[in-house]
Amino acid sequence: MSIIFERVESALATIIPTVPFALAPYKGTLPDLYIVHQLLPSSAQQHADGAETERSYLVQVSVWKKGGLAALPDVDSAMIAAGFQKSDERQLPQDIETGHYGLAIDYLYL
Amino acid sequence: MATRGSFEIKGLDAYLEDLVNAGIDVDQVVADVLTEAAPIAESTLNENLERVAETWTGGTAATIATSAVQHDGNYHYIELSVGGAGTTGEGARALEYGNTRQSAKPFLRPAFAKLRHNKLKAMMKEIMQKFGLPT
Repeated sequence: MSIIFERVESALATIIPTVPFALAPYKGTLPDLYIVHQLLPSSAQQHADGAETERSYLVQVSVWKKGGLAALPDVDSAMIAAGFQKSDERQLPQDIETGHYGLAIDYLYL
Repeated sequence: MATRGSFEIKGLDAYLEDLVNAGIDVDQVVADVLTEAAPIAESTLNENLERVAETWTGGTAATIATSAVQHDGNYHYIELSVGGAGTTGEGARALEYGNTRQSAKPFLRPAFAKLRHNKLKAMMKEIMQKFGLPT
């Protein structure tokens, strides 16, 4: 299971220019632009002889940026190149205290 | 604003084809399945909310609402929402998607996934049996 986290972090590490990222929640002082990711509840897709043979992973990647959501890092290309399929995407409410705007994107890995 | 999602019937093409071949009104069957799915979806949402809430007051769960079956051509769906009229829905949204200070503790997406994986095919099998069709 830890392989999925490594896969996500390897993908996010390819984004140029580099963007700070972490497993959610981001600890410490928040950068003006950063990414967090986390695994959502994921289930087995197939069993054979009582054993799991296939599992899908749904990962949420959230981009937080002060000042708006224009000119965001190209998370899609990085994740898709790593074998993920893009799923739902939605804007998150602005954090009034920090000024960050958020965009959350779900990616599926089979 | 409420946190909402829609639940549609997918991946049941083989069942639906058999129903069509048997001359059964598929639109009505799909509407029936979704109508039966609505209270199960609400119940699953409620369970998930209770599981992820740090302190359980039931306040957010009380805002769970399910729409009637809706149609857009051959597309049939119901909408589920949490945090409706009279609430900001911020608490539910922060739970589902997280925010700058907390990770997501999703309750909506797992409820849909559970319905798709576990419940829907069982319901379709019941309907096939009702019409005397092979499952």
